[in-house]
Amino acid sequence: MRTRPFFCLTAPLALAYACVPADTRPPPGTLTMTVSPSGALDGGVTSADGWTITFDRVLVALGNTGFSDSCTVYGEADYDRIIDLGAGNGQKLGILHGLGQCDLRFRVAAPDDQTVLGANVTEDDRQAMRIPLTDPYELQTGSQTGAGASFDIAATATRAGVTKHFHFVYRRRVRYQRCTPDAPPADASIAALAQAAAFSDSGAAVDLHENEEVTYDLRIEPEGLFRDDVNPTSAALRFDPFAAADTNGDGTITLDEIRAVPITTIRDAGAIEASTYEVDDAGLLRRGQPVVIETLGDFVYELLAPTLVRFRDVGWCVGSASGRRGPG
Amino acid sequence: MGDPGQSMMRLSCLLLVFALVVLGASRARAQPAHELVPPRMLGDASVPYPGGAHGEATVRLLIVVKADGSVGDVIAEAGEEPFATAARTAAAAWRFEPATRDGQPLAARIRSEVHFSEPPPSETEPASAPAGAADGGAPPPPKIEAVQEVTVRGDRVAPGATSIGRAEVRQLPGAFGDPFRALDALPGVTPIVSGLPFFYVRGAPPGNVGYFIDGVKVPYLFHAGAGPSVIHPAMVDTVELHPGGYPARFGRFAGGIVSATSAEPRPELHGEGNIRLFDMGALAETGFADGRGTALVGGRYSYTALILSLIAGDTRLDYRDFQGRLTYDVTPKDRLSLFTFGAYDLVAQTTNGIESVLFGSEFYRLDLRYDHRFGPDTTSRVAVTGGFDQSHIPGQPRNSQNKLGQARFSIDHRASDTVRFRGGADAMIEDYTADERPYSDPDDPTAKQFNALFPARDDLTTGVWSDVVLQLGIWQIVPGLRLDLYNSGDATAIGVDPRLASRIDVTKRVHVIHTFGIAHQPPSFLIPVPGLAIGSLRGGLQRAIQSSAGVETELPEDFTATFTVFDNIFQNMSDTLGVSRDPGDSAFSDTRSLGSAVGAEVYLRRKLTKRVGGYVSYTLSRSTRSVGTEHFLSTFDRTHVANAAIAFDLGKNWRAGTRFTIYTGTPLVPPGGNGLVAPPRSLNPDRDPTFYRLDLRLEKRWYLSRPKGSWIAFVIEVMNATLHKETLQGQEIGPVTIPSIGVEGGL
Repeated sequence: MRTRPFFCLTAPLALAYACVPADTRPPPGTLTMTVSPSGALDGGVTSADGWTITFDRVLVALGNTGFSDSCTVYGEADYDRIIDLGAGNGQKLGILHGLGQCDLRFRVAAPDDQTVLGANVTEDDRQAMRIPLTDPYELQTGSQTGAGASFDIAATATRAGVTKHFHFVYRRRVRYQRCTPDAPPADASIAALAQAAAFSDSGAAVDLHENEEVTYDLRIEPEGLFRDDVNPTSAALRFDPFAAADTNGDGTITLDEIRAVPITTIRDAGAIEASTYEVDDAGLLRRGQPVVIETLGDFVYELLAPTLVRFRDVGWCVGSASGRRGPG
Repeated sequence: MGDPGQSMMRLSCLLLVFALVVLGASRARAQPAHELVPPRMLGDASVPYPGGAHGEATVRLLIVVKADGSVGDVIAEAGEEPFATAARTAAAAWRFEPATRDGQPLAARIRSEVHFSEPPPSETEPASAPAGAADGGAPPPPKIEAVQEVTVRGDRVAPGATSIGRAEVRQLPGAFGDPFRALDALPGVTPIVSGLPFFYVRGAPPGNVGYFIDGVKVPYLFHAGAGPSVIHPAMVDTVELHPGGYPARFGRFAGGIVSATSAEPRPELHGEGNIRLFDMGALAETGFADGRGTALVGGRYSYTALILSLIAGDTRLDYRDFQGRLTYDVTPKDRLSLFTFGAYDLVAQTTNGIESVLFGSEFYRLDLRYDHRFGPDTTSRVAVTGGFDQSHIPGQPRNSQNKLGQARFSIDHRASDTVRFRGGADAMIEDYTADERPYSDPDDPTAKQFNALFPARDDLTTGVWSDVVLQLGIWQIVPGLRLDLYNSGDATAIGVDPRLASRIDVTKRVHVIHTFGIAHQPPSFLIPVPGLAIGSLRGGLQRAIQSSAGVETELPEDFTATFTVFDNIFQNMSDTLGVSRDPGDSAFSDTRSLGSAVGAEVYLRRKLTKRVGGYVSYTLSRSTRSVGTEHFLSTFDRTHVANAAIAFDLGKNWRAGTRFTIYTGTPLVPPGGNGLVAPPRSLNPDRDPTFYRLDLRLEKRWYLSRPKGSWIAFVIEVMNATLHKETLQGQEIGPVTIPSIGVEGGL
């Protein structure tokens, strides 16, 4: 791969010469990461309370896929891509090369001008997702200029002739790691599972061998916004609380409206304090500031939105969202 | 005493020193000439009668006596062989008390005649002893005989430049005896991070600073991992920093110029070596062919890999460098020289038993030159250089290479004591290639950016330059012009660089210095990386308009003080470091900007080789950038940068020194927004905290022969002995400290 120059072999002071060595490492394995929509994109999904929920369009900006330091990294896909889930299954996210047992990392984040456009995604889509706007939850810096969109989900729910629209834009950057392909048990606490995963030795989401080719898929489940539990295995979909939030009856449910809905409409236990995780400068997970979940909006934005990404169908990853809850 | 076995002959050595200071007719009328004291020989001047020769002969030598009293160039202007070579060889070892002007030592050129008389076959007396010395009588002093008037000239450093010699640097704490490491202590130099060998020079980014060794361009000066310079310090005579308005012989860089001059060849066997905590080095030089030739080898070898294996077993840091030089005086007026040098660096990490190269770089140069002296006032040089550069680019990862060839010519002619012409031309071809990125995602924008920015291609650059040194009484003015034609891929551009420098000797101790220059440069990368240069002249040439004005004053007790103000304008500037919110993310882009740097510099100095020597340098500056309609401070703007050093001769060959460095923090850059409109950057932002560090040096030397000849020294030196941490963009770094304990020796 690398040329060994003529000088290296004929230098008069050969003992002092030492040319940059050629690549003598064994050939790596190749991991192709793809993105697919859940079945809800194809014909919609019916909630437990009888609403038929369809998705008009779902855009997600994600990427920056790589390995942990526990394996030998040959090449990573350090770039982002905007995926239109309506374009189908198995859309390419990135190609990585490595050897050994590796933890995987990736992120969802608002696009920039280098973000690659996936199928059916236009430059207008990218520019629209780049527009920085504020909402009560997104990352706020001292400049107060807002952030672009990581997720842009437009859904429509109908029941008995009543139609409601819900356009959800998520503006945080979420890093994912410590992925496991196993679905969380139905009775498990996601918080406890996340804590256990976050502070254990680095997991091995993938084990790559020489010349091996592997494909892993990330499944995006936009219907997860309507779950009544953070554990996707045991959660049911409920749209009634969202419908009830449309207090002005214009048929469009906004983030502010669901922030006015108390959490008791979803959880009988009422307000909770949820753990968060942050990634420090060394790339390690550590516990972040807990957040108080008091409203339906808090529940959706703080807890449900980061769980929309599933690893290898039913698996999941520990997500750490950058930013803190803003005023409001 | 003569060397045993050698046939010696009493001879008379006629030494003439008749210095005539010519300051120009107008000045001679206006005020009296400065007081000049010619060189004075120290010790006796013995020249052995060459073996196998017969008869009498006279050799006339033209000798350069350097400011430290040693002999530089020796030219035999007249005389037959083998007497000419015998006289030159012997003269090279003579020692003088140097010429002085107003008490300041300076180089001088003198003529000397050596008369050889064939000895009777039975006598074997030392050459320096006069007839009758066998009875123990003291030899008479040499006869001084006027031969010809000689003009004493000191070749000053170019106006606006700062020069530092190796002898001084040895005593500078934190420099580890390395002339190049002293650069960050000079005014006008703004560090990026303490210990990192890249800096801004009067607002110009690291990629715009050129490094030259004997006129040969080199890609970088220092090894990786805060390592030493790539040239053994013993080979470096002086290092000059030209922060702007440089002489016309320097071009193709729109920032500053660092120019190193190698030590003059010496035919007598000499050398030095050192063993330190992380590396060892040595250099040796000797003569051959009766002193007509010299051969030098030197190098440095690091064992950091071994030491790191004890601390961080999975990381390897390796560096090495070598130097070699052959010179041969074909005739007394012609010298052939072959100079080769190179450097290698490697950082690698092992994971799961597999070693991956994180960073690697190397460069090699082979320079063949021919120097000819037409007469005492005209010299010329013709040289050809071949080179190879290669780097392993982290993050890509792949290797990029550059093979280069250059031919250059220069001439220097003193038409009179008031007019000196200099000129030259060169042509350089560079073949850039890069390996295919072996394991990559074809959709990766960074890889595509890299390929677009650094295409494989051939670059051809040609240039001509000329300047004139006019001494008009108290006023020395140097107008110059440089033309460069750049060709890269399908793109062509022309750079026209006028230069002007002026020095006015207002009084014998006060000098006013002005410099002005326009300098062009092709687009540059973040930092100099061997084998990596932005291709196809993307975005066009950069242009710098550099000007400065200053006053230099010679103070009592050998102090020199300089006060300079400068104003630089940078057009179409490549400065990713200075304008990007996150240089790591935009490393492979080339955002052009309009830049400006204004400031003032103060430099107070007393040679560090004095019993008590030191310096204070201070730079006050403001560096701004404009991109589109946004106007902001450069990311590495530091309002105040100050250095103070002091070195003591404690007696009994103990020397100690300390250096204090302090600089204010860089502006805090608000991170790029996630949307179209990034938060605006301010001209008065918050800054990182101020950083300071203290360097210490202690040396004890033992002389193994007298007068001060072979020596051995124990040296302890620490950079950042206070272990102070630095903050960059809110992130604390370090402490970066470099301890060094070692033994040095020389003969």
